[in-house]
Amino acid sequence: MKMQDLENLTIAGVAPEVQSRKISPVELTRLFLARIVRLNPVLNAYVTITAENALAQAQRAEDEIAQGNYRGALHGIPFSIKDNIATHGVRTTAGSKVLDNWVPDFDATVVTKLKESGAIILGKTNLHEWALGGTTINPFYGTTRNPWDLNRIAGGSSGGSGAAVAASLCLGSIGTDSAQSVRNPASMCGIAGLKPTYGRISQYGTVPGTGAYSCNHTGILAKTVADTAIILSAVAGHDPKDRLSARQPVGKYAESLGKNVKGLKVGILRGYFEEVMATEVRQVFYDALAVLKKLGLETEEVTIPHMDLIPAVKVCTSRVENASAHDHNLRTRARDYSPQTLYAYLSALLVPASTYVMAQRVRRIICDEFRALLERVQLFAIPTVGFPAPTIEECNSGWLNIDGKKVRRQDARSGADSFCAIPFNVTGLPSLNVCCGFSSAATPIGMQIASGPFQEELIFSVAHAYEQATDWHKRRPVLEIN
Amino acid sequence: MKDAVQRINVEYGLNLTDEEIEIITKQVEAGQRLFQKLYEVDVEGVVPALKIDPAERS
Repeated sequence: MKMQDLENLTIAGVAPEVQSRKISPVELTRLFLARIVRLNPVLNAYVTITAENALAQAQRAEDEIAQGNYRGALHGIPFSIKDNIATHGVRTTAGSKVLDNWVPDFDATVVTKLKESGAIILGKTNLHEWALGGTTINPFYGTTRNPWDLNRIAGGSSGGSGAAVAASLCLGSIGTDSAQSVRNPASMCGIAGLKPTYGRISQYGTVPGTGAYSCNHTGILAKTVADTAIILSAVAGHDPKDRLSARQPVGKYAESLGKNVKGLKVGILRGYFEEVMATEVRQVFYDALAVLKKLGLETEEVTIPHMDLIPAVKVCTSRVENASAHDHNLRTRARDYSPQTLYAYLSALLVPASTYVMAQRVRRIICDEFRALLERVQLFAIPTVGFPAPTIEECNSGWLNIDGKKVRRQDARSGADSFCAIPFNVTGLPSLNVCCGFSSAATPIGMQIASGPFQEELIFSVAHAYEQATDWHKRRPVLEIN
Repeated sequence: MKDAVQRINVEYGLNLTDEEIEIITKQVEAGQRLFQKLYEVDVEGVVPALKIDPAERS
């Protein structure tokens, strides 16, 4: 196998080869590490590379498989972990200066589960400072660049994970998503990204203050829907260490792939997010809906009465819950935050408690309205981000160019890049990004497929059917190595 | 609102500049305008979504 061969590898494709010992986990790991050495200086996807640990894990996997102790589809598969998820003995920065030297003495539960599955951890991936933003332009660890166009952002906050998967610097990555942070980079990098139902994957070991307690989710980034389904089965489940984790049984999600999707009803969500939606994103999304219709799904446009209040609920909830986690550091290390992040947390300290409670009352109404919609439709579809990956220069200027108009990247409602994603953080409903086309600048565009609580199987079956009917997910960025 | 920011400045020992106090004040005021819409909703009898029970979400 050569380094270029990694580009077309998927977990579903390579796992049987690893099991049958046609491919060696050690050889695979060495190839990925060599590719990281070659491409990471350009992409800045990884902030820490754990080559020695990875090779030791790969040797152990190889020995176990040789002895007939194959653990399953993730055995010997190289992964990366977003750097706000605790890794035993490996620096975990949360993209912050405050934690630049923090080396946890424990693993997050999701990391423990990956290790128990025999996965190989190649390193930690870059993120927006404290996961508080969608660009992964990080003042302390540098900017992660989009593998499809190095002048553009990879999205965020799990931008390093998105770039690493898209550039074949790992086969899967674990991220977190409190506003968009898995789905946004997945969309901008042209890969699959799942924010599961709230509580589906344990959050134990996610750095506090890198996403609001009640909006944050541990999520998955991978090249295909099938790979995402395989990973979810390995890392989901109740965790006594996370009181917010769910007790619902974990499915064999990969088995849902290939199920008949004819007759399912998809609600096309309408609302405030259409204000900031590029014409080409709209067109690509409509083309994707046409594919779903060809597959036999029925569509209808839907909304909820309080849709426009979702940004207010989300911003209020996130600000207050995040600020509570940062209180000590704000009192002792305020100047170790970037100015933008510091100002955001300080302004959050002045949100009245009564406003927070009001936001939670409106949130209840919004959740009930979505529940009512789910009696009419089984799924939702909506673009993931209203515009393709902007340039780094645009993000630094604070202005985006959408259809020739200058649009503020951020207003009181937060980043415009999060508008389509946050309904599912407020409600906790599962949502998955699939690549559904490319922009005129040849950068990926994504579509979310979402559903009711714990309906990940249904999402996987539809998203996989969509992937099988298209070839967007097979495209790969052309990188210098080629 | 500037007074409230200044109180935080003192309480947290931040040594914010006047320009920083101005920026934060504007952010707080923008947030207030955004959150004002929440108070226009009839929430009579609505229990806040404070109990974070994954089985009950949505």
